[in-house]
Order: sequence, then C-alpha cells, then structure tokens
Amino acid sequence: MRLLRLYQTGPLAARVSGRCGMTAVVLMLVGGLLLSLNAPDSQAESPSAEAVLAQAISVYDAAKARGHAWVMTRDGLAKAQGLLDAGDAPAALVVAQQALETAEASLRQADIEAKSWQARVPK
Amino acid sequence: MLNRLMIMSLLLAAASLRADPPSDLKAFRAFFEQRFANIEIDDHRDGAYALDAAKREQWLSMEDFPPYEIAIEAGEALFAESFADGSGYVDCFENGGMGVKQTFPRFDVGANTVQTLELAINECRKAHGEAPLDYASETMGALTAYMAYTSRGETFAITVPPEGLAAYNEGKAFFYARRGQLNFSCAGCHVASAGGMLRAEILSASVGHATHWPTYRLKWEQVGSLHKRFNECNEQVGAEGLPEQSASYRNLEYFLSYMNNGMTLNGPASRK
Repeated sequence: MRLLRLYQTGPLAARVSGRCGMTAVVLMLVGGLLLSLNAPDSQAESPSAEAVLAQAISVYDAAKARGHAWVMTRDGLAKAQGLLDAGDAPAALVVAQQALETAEASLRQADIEAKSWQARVPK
Repeated sequence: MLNRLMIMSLLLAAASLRADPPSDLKAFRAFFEQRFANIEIDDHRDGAYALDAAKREQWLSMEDFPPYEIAIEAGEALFAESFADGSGYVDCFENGGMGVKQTFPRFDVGANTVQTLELAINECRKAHGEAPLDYASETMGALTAYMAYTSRGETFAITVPPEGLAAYNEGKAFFYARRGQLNFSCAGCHVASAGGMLRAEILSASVGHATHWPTYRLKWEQVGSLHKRFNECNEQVGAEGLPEQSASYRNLEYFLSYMNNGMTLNGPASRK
C-alpha cells in the first residue's frame, strides 16, 4: 500500500505520467497523420447507394430462394429504390444498408434453421 | 460422461432424421393428448373453439346461419357446369368428385409433386381446354367448398408413398423452421404454445388444422384456402409469404394433412 501511494503521489509518478503523456501525444499525432493520409482513399472506397442496394437485392434473393425472405427487407429494398429514383442518394444508402443487414440476418436464419428445426419435433 | 451424452444426442438426432410418417403421427397426436388431456383429439378440428367454452358458444351461434353456405350453393352449380368439350369436373375425379376431399393432398408419382384439390381442379380444367382458375378466386373457393361439403364426416386418409417422402419431409421442415423477423415457426405457435394466448386470441392446436378447409373468415369476407391462411401467418411473423399452390405450401399442406389422419373432415368451416 505504501509503495502504491508513493507511486501515485511521489516524484516517480510524475516522471512516469510525464513520459506516458508524451508518448500518447506522439502516438496521437502519428495516428492522426496516418488517418489524414488515408482519408481521400476511404472516401473513394465508400460504397454507393446503387452498389449497396444491388448487394442487398442479391442477399435477399438468396434468402427468398430458401423460403426465408423477410417483409422488412422487401419493403426496405423498395424504399431504397424509391429514394434513388427521387435522387436522394444519401438517404437511399442508409435504407439500402439497413436492408442489407436484415437480408443477411434472414440468410443466417435459413442456415441455422436448416439444422435446428429437428430439435422441435415431438418425439 | 461427456462422450456418452454426445453419442446419445447424435443417436436422437439420427432417430429424428429417420422418423417415418406413421411415427411422426403417433408422436404428434401423443403430444396433444398429453397437452390437452381433457379434450378428444378429434375435437381439435374446431381449432381454438375446442379450447374455450365462451368462444365456442359464439362460434356455434354463427354456425346457425353459416356464412359459407352461399359458397357451397355456388360451388354446386359451378361443379355441374360442362366444359366446352362437353366433359366436366365429374369426369376428372373418382366417384364423380363426391366425397373425395379427405384423400387430398396426395402424391402424384407421375408428376413427382404433391397434388392438392385446388391443383387437381385446375389440371382437370387444363386437360379439357379450359383456362385455369385463380387460386385466390371466389370461384375456386366455391368449388372446393362444395367438394369439401360432400366429404363431411369422412375420415382423413392421406398416404405417403416412398416417392412422396421427400415432399412430406420438406413440408415437415417448413412447419418446424423459424422464419420472419420475429423468428417464429408454425410449430412455435401451434405446438409449443398451443392453448396459450396471443393478445386476445387463443392459439389453436396444430392437430386438426387441415380438416376444415376452405374456410369463411370474417376478416376475409369470403371463403379462402389453407394457403391463404399460411400467407397470413407468415406475414404476421414478418416472413414473406409464398404464392398459393407453390411447391413449399403444397408440401406443408401434405405434412399437416397427414398429421390429421384419423380425424373427421368438417369443411367448409367459419372462423373469425
């Protein structure tokens, strides 16, 4: 306990925290520099609403072929397409991403249920 | 110990995969006999009205002037009409189509598919140069209502030949698999939770679910098919419905109807 108190309040603590603080500042600067260098590339790689919508439709179709399509995905795809047609790409991207997530969840459900249904059969 | 448990669960899983239709039927009935010890299995053909006295009383009052009666009369007239080639429905079914509903659906080995009564009606029409009927139409509802009426009191006798086992198993898998955003299966409501409440409604038992179709539902304001009801259930749990008479729904009807073997046909019926 005494040692701990000494570390927390004594000159050693000041020296250690001072070194840590400097290291943290350097790391933050380097990290920020790397992020700023990467920023233009990240923007270029961010998917378009059209691309996300196409991917969502593809996953939805796969779930539908297995009898596991969800109503909310179907509605989301229609809404995203409507927003795209109206020229509101940012809003379409948000809705298309949600549709993609629900489509992926429905496909996971199909995978899980392909095996787990048997556990529910009365024996 | 762990190894023994794993071996036992593997054996159980293998047994469920091997389960044949008669074993399924026995276990299915036994489940409901145990769950509803004071209700005869055959009484479940009345659905939720077998489980609640007050609801049954209201329903019986409605049956004094059954709303499906008009459909039966219309169906009788439609059934008697001749096709352009001079033939009619009477030529397409054994016993002239009277009292045959309890044998549908059946597995058509030649076509390698499940044949429901609705499908057989349209195949009959096509074979005689007539356009097929819309499965959701009032005409189809009336024809099947009349044919079901001529089968009232008959005992369900669905057969599964070896060739039909795959379709039966697909229907069985559909019945027990969860689907939709709410992650519900048919069995989740009508086996595991049968007799429980869903808001103000009592969940009926699945045994007897196929005995009374087509059915006049007050919310539909017409006679509709079992497949229409499948769609309603699916959409309620957030799953996209399938077209009436799709292979998946026919297989599901095949499984459900087999689970009604030994029960009395009581269609057409009325429901809220």
